[in-house]
Amino acid sequence: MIDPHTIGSLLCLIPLAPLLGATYNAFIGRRVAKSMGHLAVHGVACAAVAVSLLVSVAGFACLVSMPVEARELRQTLFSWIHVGSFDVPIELVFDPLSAVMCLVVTGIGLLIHVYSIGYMHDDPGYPRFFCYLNLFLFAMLTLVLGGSLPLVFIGWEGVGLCSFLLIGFWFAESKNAAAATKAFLVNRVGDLGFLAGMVVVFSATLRIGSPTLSFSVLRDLAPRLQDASFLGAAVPVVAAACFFFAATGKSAQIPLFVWLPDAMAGPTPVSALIHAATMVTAGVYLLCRTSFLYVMAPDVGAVVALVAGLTACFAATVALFQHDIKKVLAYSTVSQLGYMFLGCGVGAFGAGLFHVVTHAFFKALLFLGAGSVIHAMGGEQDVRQMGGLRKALPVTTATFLVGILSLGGFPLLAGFFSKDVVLWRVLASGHGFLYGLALLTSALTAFYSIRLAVLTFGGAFRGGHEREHHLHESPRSMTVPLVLLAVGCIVVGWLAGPTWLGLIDRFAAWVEPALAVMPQVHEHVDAEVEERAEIVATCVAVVVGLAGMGGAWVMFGWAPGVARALADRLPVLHGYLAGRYRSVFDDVYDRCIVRPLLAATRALATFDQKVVDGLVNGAAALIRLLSRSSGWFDGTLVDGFFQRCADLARALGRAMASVQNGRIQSYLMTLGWALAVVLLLLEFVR
Amino acid sequence: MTSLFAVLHPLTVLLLLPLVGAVLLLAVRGLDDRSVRQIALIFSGVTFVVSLAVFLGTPGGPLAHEGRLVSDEVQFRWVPSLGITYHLKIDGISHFLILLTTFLTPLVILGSWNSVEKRVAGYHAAMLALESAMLGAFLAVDLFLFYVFWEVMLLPMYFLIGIWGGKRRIYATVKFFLYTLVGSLLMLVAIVKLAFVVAGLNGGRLSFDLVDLMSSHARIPPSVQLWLFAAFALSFAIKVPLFPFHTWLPDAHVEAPTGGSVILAGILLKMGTYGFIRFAMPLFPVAAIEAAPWIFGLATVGVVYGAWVASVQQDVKKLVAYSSVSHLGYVMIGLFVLNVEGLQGALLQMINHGLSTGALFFLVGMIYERRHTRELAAFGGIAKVMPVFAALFLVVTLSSIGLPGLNGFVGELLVLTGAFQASKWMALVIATGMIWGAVYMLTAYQKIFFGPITHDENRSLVDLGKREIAILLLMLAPCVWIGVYPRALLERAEPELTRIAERVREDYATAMGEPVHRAMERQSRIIGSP
Repeated sequence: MIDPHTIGSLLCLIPLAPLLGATYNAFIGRRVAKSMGHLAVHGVACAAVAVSLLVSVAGFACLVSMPVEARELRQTLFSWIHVGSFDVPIELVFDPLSAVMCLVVTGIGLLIHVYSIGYMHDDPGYPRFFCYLNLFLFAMLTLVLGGSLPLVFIGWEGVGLCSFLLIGFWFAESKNAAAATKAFLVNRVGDLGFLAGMVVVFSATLRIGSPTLSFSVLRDLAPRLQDASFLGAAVPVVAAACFFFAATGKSAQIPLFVWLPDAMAGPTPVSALIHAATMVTAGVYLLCRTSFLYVMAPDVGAVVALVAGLTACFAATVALFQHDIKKVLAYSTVSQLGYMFLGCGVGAFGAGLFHVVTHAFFKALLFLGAGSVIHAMGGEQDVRQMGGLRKALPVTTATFLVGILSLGGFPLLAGFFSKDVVLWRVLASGHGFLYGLALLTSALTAFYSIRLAVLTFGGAFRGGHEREHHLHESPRSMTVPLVLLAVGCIVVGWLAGPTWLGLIDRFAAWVEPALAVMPQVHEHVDAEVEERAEIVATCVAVVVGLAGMGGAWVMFGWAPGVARALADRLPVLHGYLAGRYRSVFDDVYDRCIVRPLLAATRALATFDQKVVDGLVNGAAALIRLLSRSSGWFDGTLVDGFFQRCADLARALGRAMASVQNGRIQSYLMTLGWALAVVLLLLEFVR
Repeated sequence: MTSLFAVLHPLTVLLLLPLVGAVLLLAVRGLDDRSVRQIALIFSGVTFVVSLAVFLGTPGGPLAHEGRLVSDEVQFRWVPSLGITYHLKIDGISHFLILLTTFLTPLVILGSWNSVEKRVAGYHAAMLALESAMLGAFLAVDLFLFYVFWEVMLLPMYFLIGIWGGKRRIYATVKFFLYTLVGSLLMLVAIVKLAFVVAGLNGGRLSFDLVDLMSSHARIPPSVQLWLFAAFALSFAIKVPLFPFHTWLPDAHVEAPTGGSVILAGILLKMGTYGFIRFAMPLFPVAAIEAAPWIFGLATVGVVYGAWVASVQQDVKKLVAYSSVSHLGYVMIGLFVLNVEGLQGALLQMINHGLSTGALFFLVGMIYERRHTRELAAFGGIAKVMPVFAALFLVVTLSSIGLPGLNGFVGELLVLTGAFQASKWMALVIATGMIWGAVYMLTAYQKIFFGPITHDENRSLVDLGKREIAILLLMLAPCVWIGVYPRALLERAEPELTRIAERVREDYATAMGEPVHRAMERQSRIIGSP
């Protein structure tokens, strides 16, 4: 029995340990490494993550031992912002939801830290890399542990920053730097939604007399917010829409997914950790965390589901035509994130979250496997240069295959279970179109997964003799994480053991108390009928998935000429699909937003210079002209009575001129005289 | 005895210490440059210590728990026949601006240790005199006294830009001088007029003391209030600078030496916003509330306008200058929404802007000393040769664009929350500021630091030295502190800010001759719910 109080007071260690690790590597890691070698860098970094993992596991064990309704640990550190009724304490909450996220983030995070020891071994920025990785974990763990919206926002923007730093890790190349900036800016657009949602929620709660931004309080208040309206819509609707917009940024959904494919410019462990397993799922986490809003806003839920379905399908079609191994995986991530949101959109938050967990395993595995391939290929990422790698890289091949099959939805692997739950819940919610879309996507997913595997590992090597000679399996520090993740892919799906096999869905039982439940809209269906329907749906999914896999194997493995012939038959279409198609959103944004905005800023700068400043300079010129002409008037025309007026004007002119010459003394004197006169007058008036 | 104490009151000491240093530097001939710098550093450093002691020891400070350690007010008559008094007072608002002033000045002196070569004594004397004038403006609660400091402040800055500035320094400094002068002369007229109007209401007793003026100012006819407010507001708006009165700022910044820019952005701009909250708004509540929509309009435009224009600037200093227009727009909105979130956010943003923009000017100065250019195109790939510089620049950038955990975010969030209660659309527009800020700062950062090194001159750049790192770390320490634990600041300022907000509201009600709640309804129609 673990004392909840003790664990509660240790919660802050979960984010703080990586923060300390980051601080260490930022300031002294490099110096210590000079005498002690790389161990001084990654030793501390990995140890920091291990501490987080240990505390998370302890917290998890502690929650397990508690009764279901009381499963929550809390630690309040201090009051962060307190102004009038605006009160935000630094409060960490460890409940079933954050427990799941913490375990995934720290567990997979640790594996990826270990993997990076080998992958980044020769990089001169070794300490910087581990500093950023640790910093990322700090931000990510703050995000999942934060008990209130602003605290989550610290983590939210923090992970965005780390993403920026790590995408631009090799900043000397302009392409990477541009990708980093793009990621940050696109994410900021999404963050605006978060900020807006936060302000809307605060103002609404302020109006009903109990201002708060804390999740636990909001959850209880939520029903009372239903009546409050904002710009003609109910507050929960507006807030839910705002938070989903934020999620489309961080979690790469239409319309803001465009940064993620470019983000592959970062080192591969980063792609695995940040751009596949953890950070990009933050949006799903946010929706789960604020699920109480979404159950009150079913329309927003429908939008979420639709956007997610379209994103999933679109990204899957793009992935079909990519040649860069990391790009395939990147688009696949976008697509899989779509599945997660699809689940959330139809109210199956638990299903969405379960896909987060399984995806974290198989996608981290795939990226790390891809990293191992790229490592062996000396930096080459184009699958057209690969092929036949199974001989030289047996461990990578085996583990990668597990990941690929899991992604493709091969029965009884992790991805299969979670995707199946999402599909079933979409069908059960009565969204026929979305179900069709999701089913199509799963066929496409199966197809591109197998295509990637076949092109990389099957057939013969296409990269030339020289390279083939250098192919080598990666060091132990890289293969061990691969094997562990592969084991995870096989095991983790059974957590939600399919009910039709007579197993209990432990995952749902674990997280659902922390999630809101969508009120049932349609009439109750007989349990037995439902179970039978679920089995049928599963069979359909299996058939569709296997068909996709089979198709890919036929086209790329069994008869490689088929794909080539098809492409030659339709050159224009294929050229588009393999070319501009993937940047169709970028092109539209560029034409409709970026360029007009650039033109507007330039026009505004010209306006500022010519008009606003022009008026100032014009006024000055006018005064100069006036004083000069009055000087002329005085000098040539006027005498006698006008002399005094002219003197005044001349004095003015001189004052201006002398100021122009930089002699300020004359001004001082004028001011002094003026003051004296004013004072005298005042005295006189009295 | 009392008079002696009054003369040696800590606030007086605080006010005069830098001036004594300035006089010393000018009077003693034949000092070598090094001793000049040391003397200036000592004087400004001791001033900082005094201000810190005042902060800790005055009522509300941590050392003042058992009764007051240091009184927060000093007053004696100066020109009795005109009712002009020497009246200084420090409170929750001015404390932080004064600390910012005394904190930045020694850093500026340290920052120009190697960069100012000519007329070293003059430079440091001007800097110290400027410090005294700024402290005076923040401390004075007699309007006449305030005006004197307000005007005197211009002179050292005029010289700092005009003598130690860049190529077009004469144009810039004259523009700066005349532009601000136009506004302040109108303010002088308004001050005199106000004193007479109030004297008329008070049976002829003339006084320039803010306390006296506020005692019966509510009875000033609204039409008169409006004109007086307009004169004050113009003067302050130019200083802020509120769009469209901002064009003196980019020129002044570009031509000013690094130290001048830091002080200009860090403190002088705050004079405008401080003037609003200390004088213009409490003195003319009716006008302030009636004018609020106009201020909102200009400030909202300024937030976006400044950021957009900043994003196309090629000179880094100009970029930062325009970003100030954007940031100060937030402050203005926070002030005029008149709710506690907005006011606190505004005060916080004043401090934050002083810190992060001040730090930015330091950084720009450091690279300018090495490369003698500030054109974005002249850089690229600098992170490779100057990693420490790049890292510190990044942190300052993040502070400036309001990354949570650093100072800028807290202020922005509070202003936004306050603004949202006044107008949802305004809040939405200024919230986009978080995108624009990131656009111009990060693209500039990318251009300076990332990519390959394209200019050979940049290959041999030397990374920051100890002195420079120390300056930047000192600037960043409060940024992190405010970001993580802003309460210390917020708590100290809250009583004064709520008092002002309530007072404005009540005076508004009195002036309108309506019960408070009716007047509040009317007010909320004008500027949103309180």
